Amino acid sequence: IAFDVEAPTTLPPCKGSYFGSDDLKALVLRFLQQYYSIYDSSDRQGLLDAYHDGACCSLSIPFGHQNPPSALLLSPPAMRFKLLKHTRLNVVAFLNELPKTQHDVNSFVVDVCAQTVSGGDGRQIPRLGALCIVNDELFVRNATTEEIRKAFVMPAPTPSSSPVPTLSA
Amino acid sequence: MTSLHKTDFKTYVDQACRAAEEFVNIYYETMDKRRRVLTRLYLDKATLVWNGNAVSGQEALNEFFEMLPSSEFQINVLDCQPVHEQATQSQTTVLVVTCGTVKFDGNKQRYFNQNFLLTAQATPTNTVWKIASDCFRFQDWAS
Repeated sequence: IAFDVEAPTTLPPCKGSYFGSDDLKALVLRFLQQYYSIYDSSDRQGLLDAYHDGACCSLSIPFGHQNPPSALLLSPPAMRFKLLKHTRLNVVAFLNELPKTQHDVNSFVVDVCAQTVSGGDGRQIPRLGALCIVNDELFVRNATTEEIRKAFVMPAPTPSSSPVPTLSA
Repeated sequence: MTSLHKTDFKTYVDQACRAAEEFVNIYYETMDKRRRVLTRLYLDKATLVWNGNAVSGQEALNEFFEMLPSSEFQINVLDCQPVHEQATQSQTTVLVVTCGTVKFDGNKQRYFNQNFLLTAQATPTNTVWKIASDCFRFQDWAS
């Protein structure tokens, strides 16, 4: 007599980016490439075209990874409201205050879930005809040793011929 | 007009945060301790993208969660935002982002990021929040 009560211990294999379709993939990758080339430039003002008028943006930085707190890291409502940037102008002004960056486009993992795009930093792009960001939840953590080792190894895609990158909304 | 608009937005944010906090407590407790009923938290046509694997619909979700080893989740960060009605056909929708650690039975403990779109489903008696989409990633999935 045998009983099959063995609990599973095998996880499904992890796969790379999920786009849903090739059309969506091309559209989203083009958007991200333009977005980050402006983001990494000396002036992020050009990102105004990337955001919806009523866009929101917030930033999370987990700390104490080694010793996670048992309670949720939640700010009191008033503080939380202050930390949430609302409307396109406020979002871009906030992004302009963040330190200068260099992104390794080859390291991106992009998932398109329903009409949601989320990568390591949880960005969402629900309008597809003319892409624009409605919700932006920026998540910053330390890179792992492995990620640091692999970063910027591949050459970045050839930059466009125009010196100032633009977003076609 | 502007101040009225601001008040409205603040109300949305408060609503989003309350829904997100309650949701996160219920979701991970159900995931860890009552996995069989987890899909009740999802819309009939909900989509899950789990480390690049797409799963859609109640039946497929049920099968998927049954196959996952038992889990112990710990949430370190929770963030939420109301989603603009223009992006959701006026459905009240909240974006919830979490990060933390998970230990699946027989596997090492790992860091993960997850994000959910929750929509408010009005019934004659009350409002129930359901998951419209769910996206889960191990932070070190490639290694």
